[in-house]
Amino acid sequence: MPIEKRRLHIQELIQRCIRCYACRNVCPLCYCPTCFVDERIPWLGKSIDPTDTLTFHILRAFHCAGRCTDCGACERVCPMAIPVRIFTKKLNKEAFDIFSWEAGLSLDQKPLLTAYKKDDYDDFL
Amino acid sequence: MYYKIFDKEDWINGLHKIEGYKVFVPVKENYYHIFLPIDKDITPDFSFHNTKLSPKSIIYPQSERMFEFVVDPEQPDAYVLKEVPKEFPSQAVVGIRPCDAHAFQIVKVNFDNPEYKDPWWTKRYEATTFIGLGCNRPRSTCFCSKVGGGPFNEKGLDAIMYDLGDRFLIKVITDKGGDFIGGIKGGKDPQDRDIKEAESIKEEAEKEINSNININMNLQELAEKPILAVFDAPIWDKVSFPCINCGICTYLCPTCWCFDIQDEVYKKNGDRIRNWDSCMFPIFTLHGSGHNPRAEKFRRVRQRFMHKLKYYVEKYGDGVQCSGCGRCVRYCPTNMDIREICNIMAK
Amino acid sequence: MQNPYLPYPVRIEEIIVETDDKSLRTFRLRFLRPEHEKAFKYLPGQFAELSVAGKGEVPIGIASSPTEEGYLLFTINKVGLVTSHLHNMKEGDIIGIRGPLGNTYPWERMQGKDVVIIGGGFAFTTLRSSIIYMLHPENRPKFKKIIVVYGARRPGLLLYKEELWEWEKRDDMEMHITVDGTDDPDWKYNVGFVPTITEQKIKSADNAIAIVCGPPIMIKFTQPVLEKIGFPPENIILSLEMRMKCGIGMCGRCNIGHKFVCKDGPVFSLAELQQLPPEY
Repeated sequence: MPIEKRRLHIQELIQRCIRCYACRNVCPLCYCPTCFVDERIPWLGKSIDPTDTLTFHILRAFHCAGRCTDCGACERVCPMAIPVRIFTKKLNKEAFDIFSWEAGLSLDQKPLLTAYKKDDYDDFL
Repeated sequence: MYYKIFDKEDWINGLHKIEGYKVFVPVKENYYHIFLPIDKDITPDFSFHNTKLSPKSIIYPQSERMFEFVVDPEQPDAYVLKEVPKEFPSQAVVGIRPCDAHAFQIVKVNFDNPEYKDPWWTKRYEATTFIGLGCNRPRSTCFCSKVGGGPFNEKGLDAIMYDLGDRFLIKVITDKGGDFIGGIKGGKDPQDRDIKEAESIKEEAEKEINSNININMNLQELAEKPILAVFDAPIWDKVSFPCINCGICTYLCPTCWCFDIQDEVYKKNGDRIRNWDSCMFPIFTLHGSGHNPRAEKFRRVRQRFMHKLKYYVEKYGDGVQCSGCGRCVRYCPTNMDIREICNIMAK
Repeated sequence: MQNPYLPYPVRIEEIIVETDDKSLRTFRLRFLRPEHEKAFKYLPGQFAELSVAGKGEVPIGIASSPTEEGYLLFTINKVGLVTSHLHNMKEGDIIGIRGPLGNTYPWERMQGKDVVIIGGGFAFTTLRSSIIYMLHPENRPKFKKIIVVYGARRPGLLLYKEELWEWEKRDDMEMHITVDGTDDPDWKYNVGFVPTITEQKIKSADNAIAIVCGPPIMIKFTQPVLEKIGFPPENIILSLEMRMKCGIGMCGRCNIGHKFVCKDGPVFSLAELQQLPPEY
């Protein structure tokens, strides 16, 4: 999809989000003691403003990047039938394409974004 | 109180054309129905069980700008809050189910009491006409008759529609309803057999909902048990185990009303906004000092059910704070059922 | 009808740092419009929501007495977003105030009785309001003996120090100032925890009402002492705090059982609290 149309498409998909945080609560990887939406420093607003809602979904996907195993609970639980997985699946694809990484395949792997190998492409993590 | 009968097509055309009202109708979107304002591209669909989101957002929007202010010290009126000018045009919700209309009556005591009146809720409620749609086939998760309602109950409604297959028989209950119905062309006086058909549909629906074995809620026994006895009962760990504190039940519920007030500032301008909030969220009762009376999950779950079934009754002396729509039962991701929990509490 | 969420604008006239660790400051506020001042009629025990545009609102007990006309005093502890911002403000800044909210101490019931006031730490604000209200020449005859016990962790953390020394010298009330511990050799007053001093100084509960205001731990240890002296639960008055947002009993956040701390409280008698679920 051309880049100019992507944002409009995504905004349409999450138009019905009611910020119930069911996707976050049911996700097995969302275990932060204080989620970024509840932090005192206002990272994003609490209203259903479309930009704030978009920020929530994208930021949550990024926080789960490299750890998401695509269990699908987030999409199943959403009361408004929002395809929550499009964000996480895109990041999983990027992780695979760039780092040949698939989460959850072995118990000994260190998560993608916490490990640094000497032969990494970039100078720093 | 009088009746009018419309052919379904005339009714829907009339809704498109009526003047002076912003009309909300149930519309099918994705896999579910929600209330949307009628438009030339929007077709109402009255063959639905109930909408996913309750129509409470029509009177009580999820995010509401309360005040605006400037944070620029150069301005003379900096930091002084001013009301956002709002209009409350006449609106009508057509096709609201009796449980949802009853819910507005339940919520009204909170926002409209002798000491304080919430200006936005009360003005919007007064500007709204409710045209209900009686339920011919209640669902397995419906239990409105147990909590003071019914599939054709008229509490909170200005008129009620009976679906007779190819026609709608409208019973006008209040003057507000009469004004709205008067604005729709094509209304005829019904014949006696139409009214009889409507009555028999009503009886069938009431029989069906009362024979539904799932709705045996011991509300009488629960009302007799003292609050502290239910509060201290050792049932809550087991009852609250499945809950994931997501907030779906509170946001979909037509009788839940808790809210949060937040200030949001962008550059030099700011707004004070009221948003829906949920007692299920962990920081709902977090004090500034760090103390949280409801830090553990079972306390929050206990708070929700105690509030719905005991505290509201104690405070307002009416029925429970539930209209039996069944949305929490149907959409809870972990299958928690308020009817079951009520019986466990009453034991 | 007046929008109950709309705050009255007020100007900060003076900021006094109360404690040596600077965590508590007293703000003197003056209304910008006289009609707001007339509408703001209150009695000791009530609170107001202080509104900082852009940050939020906080419920703070009113520290000035209604007999002090023309201004309002609030003593604010720096805990979070709004209070930190308030502490950084200067004299002349504008904030908003909503109120008066909540219920008052039971002044009707207290007439003709001894009044025992027990306070700890920085919960003394509404108690200061009560003491000044009672000491006013018009009101003093309505009450019999006034006995006050007020303590803090150390002398530097006591609030309203100048006034405390004044009250100690008066002969129409008993003032017992105490600290948990001090290494100041010139400390003239008591040393000991508030419950201990209460036990020593309060002799009788006959025809008396006790008002207790302090951190939960102080209340927990003072309550048995008062019961031992003979105060029945209806005569022990507490002032609670809760997280609040609307302050008018609508947002549903501050409830204890079926009562709202912002509307049916914050003043409760111990007898009332014993009927409610202990979720505070």
